[in-house]
Formats: sequence, structure tokens, C-alpha cells
Amino acid sequence: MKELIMKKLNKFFKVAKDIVVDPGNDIENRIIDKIKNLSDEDKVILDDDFMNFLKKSNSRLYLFNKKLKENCGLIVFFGILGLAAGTFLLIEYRNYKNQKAKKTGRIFNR
Amino acid sequence: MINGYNSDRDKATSDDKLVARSKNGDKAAFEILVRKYSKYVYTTAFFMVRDSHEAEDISQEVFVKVYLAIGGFRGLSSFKTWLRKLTVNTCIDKLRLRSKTADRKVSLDSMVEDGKEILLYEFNQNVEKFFQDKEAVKDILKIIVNLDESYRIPLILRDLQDYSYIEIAEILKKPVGTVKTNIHRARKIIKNLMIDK
Repeated sequence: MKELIMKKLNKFFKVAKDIVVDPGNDIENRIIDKIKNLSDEDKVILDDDFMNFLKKSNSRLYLFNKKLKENCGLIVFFGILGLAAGTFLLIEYRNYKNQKAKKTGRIFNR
Repeated sequence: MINGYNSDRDKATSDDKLVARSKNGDKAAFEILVRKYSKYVYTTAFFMVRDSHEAEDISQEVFVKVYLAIGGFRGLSSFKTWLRKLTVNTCIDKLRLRSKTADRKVSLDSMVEDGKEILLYEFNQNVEKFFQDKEAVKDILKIIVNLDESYRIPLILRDLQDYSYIEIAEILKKPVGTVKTNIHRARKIIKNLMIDK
């Protein structure tokens, strides 16, 4: 029962992402009017916090680091997978070399 | 599914074009962006700060910032994502400045009486499905809007804004474990209240 409600809850959250509250007071035009009547004094709104945000959102390195942090588990998984594959290939290569050496050794002895 | 993908791609493309035009000083293009996203920004702000006037002020502030800084937007993320993050950051700043919303009870029903209405977001194509779930979603939003701030903000960021736990922890300056616990508790509260209904 609880699981069912949790499942439904996730579904409702998905729907909730797509709804808006209409402020019912012509908010668009007020914003547009505000923008049309901007003065130099309004530029103080671009404070250090905002400039920092802008800098981060424009930095590939920052965004890449963030993705790395967020997908840590996936990176560890692929790292282990890569290491396992590398070790397997190395062992196979060494076996191949040993076999080849044995073969050439036999030919040489004959 | 394919239609949905196309519509998402078209949406992004049209945003990209509008942003490019806005960067070149095309005010009409920026107006289209304002009309397209103002309700989205307002809604995000409203659920975070729980005050319609403050949500409107935040919406204005966000668009003024975007207008003044759009030339510096490189487009490494989509415009909507950038706008959403800017809105959330602005709301968090406001919430840090004051704690007056902490114990307030907000009623979505009274908002509707005031002429504010919960609407289907214009990008959502699946109208029929939405109306089936509308009442349940409204009930959930009513619960969310009255949750304690320590539960409400992380839950909104995680379940409605798709932030990762790490991002939320960074924004709220709290340990990831605390964020996870608070979100888990918030979901539990919602679940229990929904069962009681």
C-alpha cells in the first residue's frame, strides 16, 4: 500500500513539475515595463554573488567537475570495469607472449 | 515519445534563437522570453518563499539580472536551466536574509480566491492526463507549501526542480546526509497526509 502511494507520489511530482501558479496580475507586462525603464542604478543588482554564479555557469571546467562529483558512483563503476578489462587484456597478452616464446623456442631447438 | 522529443528539441532551439537575438539587443525577443518563462519563475519563487508579493519581486529581479547579463551567457546549459538556477539562488538569498516564512501557513485555495490559479504549464502536451491528476497534485502542493522550511526547500529542489543531492547540499550549505534525511522525512509526511485523506 505504502509502496503504491510512493509510486503515485513520484508520478504526481512529475506532473507538479509542469504546472504554474498564475499570479493573475499581468506579471509579464510589469516585468517588461521594469526592463524598459532600467537605469544605471539598477545595475547594482549584478552583485558579487550573481557574477560568481555567471562565472561558474560559463565555466566548462566547473561544470565538468560538478558532473564528476555528481556521478561519482558511475565513475567508480567504469573505473573498476576498465581496470578489470585492462588486467584481463594484460594477462591474455602475457599468455600469448609466453605461448609464442615456447613455440619459437621449440622451433629454435629443432 | 518521438513527438515529445521533437517538441523538446524545438523548444530548446527556439530558446537558443531568442537568446541569440536578445544578446544582439533585440528587445522583442527578450519580451518573448519573459512572456514564456515569467509564470515558471514566479511559481518556483512562490513555492520557495511562500509570499506572492515577494515571489513577484523575485521574478522581476531575476529577469532584470538576465536582461543585464544575457550577453555573458555562453549557453553551456539550456536557458531554462540557467534561469531556474538563477531563480533558486535568488530565492535562497532572500530566505537567508529573513526567516519570516518559517511559521507561516499558506493556503493555495486562498490564492485561487485572490485571482491566482494553478494552471497547466504551457509546455506540457498531455492535458488529459494532467486533469486526471489535478486534484491529487493540488493536495500535494498544499502540503508542500505548508511544510517546514528545512523540509520544503530540499524537497522542492529535489523533486520539483531536479537538483542532485550534492547540489542541494551546496546551495543550502548543509551536509548531504542531512539533505537526504530531510527529503526522506518530507516525503514521509506527504505520504502520511495523503493516506489520511
